[in-house]
This record gives sequence, C-alpha cells and structure tokens, in this order.
Amino acid sequence: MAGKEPGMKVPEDLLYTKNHEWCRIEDGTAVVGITDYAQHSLGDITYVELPEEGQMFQAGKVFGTVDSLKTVAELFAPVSGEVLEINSGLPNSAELVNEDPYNDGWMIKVEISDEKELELLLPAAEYLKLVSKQNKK
Amino acid sequence: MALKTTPLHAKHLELKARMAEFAGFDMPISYDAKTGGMLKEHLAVREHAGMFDVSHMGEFWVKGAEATKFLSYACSRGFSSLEDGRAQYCLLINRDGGIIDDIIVYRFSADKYWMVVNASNVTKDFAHLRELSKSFKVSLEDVSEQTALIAIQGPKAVELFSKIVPKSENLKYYSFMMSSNGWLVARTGYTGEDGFEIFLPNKEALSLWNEFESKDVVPIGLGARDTLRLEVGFPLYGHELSEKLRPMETFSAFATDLKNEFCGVEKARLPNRYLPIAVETSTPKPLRADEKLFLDSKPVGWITSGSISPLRRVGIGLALVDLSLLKSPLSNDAIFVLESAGKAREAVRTLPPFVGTPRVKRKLKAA
Repeated sequence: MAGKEPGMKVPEDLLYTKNHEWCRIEDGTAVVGITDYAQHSLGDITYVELPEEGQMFQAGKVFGTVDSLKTVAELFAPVSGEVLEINSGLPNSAELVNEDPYNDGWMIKVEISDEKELELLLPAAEYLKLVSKQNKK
Repeated sequence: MALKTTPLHAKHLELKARMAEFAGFDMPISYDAKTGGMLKEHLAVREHAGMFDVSHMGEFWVKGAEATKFLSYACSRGFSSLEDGRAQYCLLINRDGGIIDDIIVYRFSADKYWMVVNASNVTKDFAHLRELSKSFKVSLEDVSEQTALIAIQGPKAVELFSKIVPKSENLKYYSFMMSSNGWLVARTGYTGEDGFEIFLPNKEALSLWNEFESKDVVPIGLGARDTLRLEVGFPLYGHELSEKLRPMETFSAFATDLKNEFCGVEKARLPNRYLPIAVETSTPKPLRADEKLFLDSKPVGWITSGSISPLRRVGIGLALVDLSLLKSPLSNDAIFVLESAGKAREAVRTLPPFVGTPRVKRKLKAA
C-alpha cells in the first residue's frame, strides 16, 4: 500500500489499467473495481451503473458508468469475458466505492477468457509511477 | 492573470481544501480531507451547523437623498415601503428586460443602503448602477475588496452565534443589525436553513472563522453550497438567471413587481418565452446542467442546474422549457425523457423545493 497521500493507495497484489481500474485475479476470474486514485479524483460518488450478469465484454470496452457529484466516468473492462457476478450492493450504496475501493467497493467479477490479456495490465509499481506523475501535474 | 484570494485563503490551504477557480477567485470547493466530502458537508448544515467563506461576493454602498428612488428604479421591486433594518432580495434588469444579477439590498434608512452582489458580476453591476445613478442624487461605493463575508447556517447556527453577537437571535428572517464591533449581521442565507450572513472587515475574518471552528462548526465548500441551494430551489446566476432571460421567465419572478416602473420594465412585461420548472428522478444519478429534456421525442428544454438531493437520494434539477416548442400547455406532472448515454432515464416535473427546511416549506402539488 505505497503512498500515504489521499488517493494514492496501490495494493501490490493487484493489476491495473491506465484508466484506473484494478483487477484481482482469483482462480481464472478477475474481480474488477476502480482505484483509490480514481475514487479520490471523482469525489463524492452517488451512483454506479453496472452490467447484467451473463453479459460479455471485450477488454477495453465500456462496461458501466460511475457518477460523482462532480462528473460521470466510464468504466472500461480490463479483460475480456463474461460477467459472472456484480456487486449488487452498489446501486444503493455507491459511497462504498469512496470508502473502500479495493474491497466493499468492487464492481464486477469476470471469467477470464484469455490469460494473455493479463500481461497487458500494469503491475502495482508501474501504476504507482503513472498516478504519481499525474498527481504532480 | 493571478487568481484573487479571500482573507481566509491561507486557512483553506491549511485545512487542505480542494481549491478551484470561481469568479476569478481561488476558492474552497470541499474540505474533504477534514469533512469526508461534499455530501457530509451538506448533511452537516442540514443537521448541525456549517460555515462558509463567501468573501468573494461584492458589496456596495448606495447613499444619498434619492437612494430609495434610485434603487426602486434600478431594482425589480420598490424600496419605499421597506422598513429600516430589513433586507430585500431583488433583480437588476437591463434596458432589454434581461437579468443583470440577483442581489440583496439592506435598508439602513431612506438615504442609506447596503447591497450584496454576485462575485462574477461585481464590475458589470457597478458600471450599470453608476450609469443609472447619473440622473439621481446618490453616491455609490464599491467596498468589495475590503469586505469579508462569512455565513453560518444550520439548526445550531442561531444558538452558537448568539453567544458571539448577543441579541442576534432576536433578528427576524431578512432583518439585519450592526453588532457593537461594527459587523453587519443579517438573518439571511443560501441554504434554506436558519442562520446568519456576517459582513466584516477583512482583517477580522480569521478570528471569527477560528471561533466558529472552536465551536465545531463544520467548514463548507462551494460544492455543498451548490447542492444546499439547489435542494431548496434557490437560483444561481449564470444558470437559472442570465441576461438572456427576463424576470417573469425565472423562479425569481416573485421578486419582481411589474407595477413598479423600474429600468427595463416595459420589456419585462412582454409575454414569456420560457417556463422555469423543477424536475426529479428516482435514482441518485445526478442530473447535469445542459442535459436536454425530451417530451414525445422532441427536445423542449434543458437542465440549468443539476445534482442529487443528498437528503432524498434522487436526481434533482432546475430547468427551462422553451414555450415555443410545446404543443400544449405543460402538465404539472409532465414526465420528460433525459438525453443521456446508456439507458434512457425519466425526470418528473415537480414543485421546488425538493426538500422542506425551516426557511423553505414544501408546497402541495396542485391536482
């Protein structure tokens, strides 16, 4: 969990996208959410729109949206595959994404269809470099 | 150009507020590092007490033998029957009937008034008033730069502030007093809650802020200020009010007396082109300014200010409907489709405010 600054928590056991999604790999599935940096940049999150279970997404395609008081952001699938499960608690308590982005604020669980896509995701150290750079701007 | 700052700027930085430009000032949007965010700030004002640095706003003196006559001409309603010690919300209207600003005018006496104007409009308002004032025996003075403004709002505000300025608790809504230390203390606000707005010299602002802080008054940024005012249906200049709109086309029509012969009144009496409405949704996805409203698949209007109601957790918005695009009169419970990506959403017409507060009561919807 490098970084004590608000919005700079980057757990080492996760993979990341440049669009600020994270991925936790568990037995051929990927649990997906948005990073601490993303939730902190968005500010107060009030609404999350998620896909239905069973929907298929290609890596890089939009699978949902997240609304904060400030703005709306699209969510991009880190890997291709079928949505096995969604966090059904989120529509009624979107603030979980602000409060606990890496655990209670998870969004979807995807069945990984192509393991090779994982190589395109960023390890924690690289993602931390990316957000440290953006933070300085 | 460097941004302007208020006398509390260093304090905002010390509190690690999220800062952003507003009306040429570097202003606090949220004190989230301390408060946990805008929603928590919003609720603190509804349930406890919050303090706002709104020193960016503009203040003018209007003095002279014809001050009452002048203001009754310059503003959308008259001042001859306003009592000394009372304040009045009204509009400045240009010769085309367009709204230059919405302001509050405080009557000290028939020949002495104080005025508070929006930060973004200080220069424009002063130039307009100076031009109009040429035919009246009045003098104008812009004291914006030496005047700080701190608001304290919420159910605990009166009790807390009466310990700092005794007898302020006796003020009626829209009344004001001068405190023994020379502050203008008004029982007004922009949140729907009870409380005060305190005009004071720049150099005294920090000690009042710190005193509030010691009494656990929560600092509130411009973000929550916006959701607080929107939840009670108060207009914001540049959104619900602009030079493109005439007073009777806005929710500030109540503050316009068309029998009063004010500057621009002939144009203000023309038939309305727009209808101001309020709409709400059924989920906490915020409405957004500029989202279009569709009726029978045709665009008929747009959101002027949108967000959510933090209390009711639904999308809320103030909007304008272009009357020339309606085929029949708009019903009280019209259902619009919103222009938004993804799933189509509906917004239902309602009456503002979106929540009732001590200062703004909910109206029963006409059948």
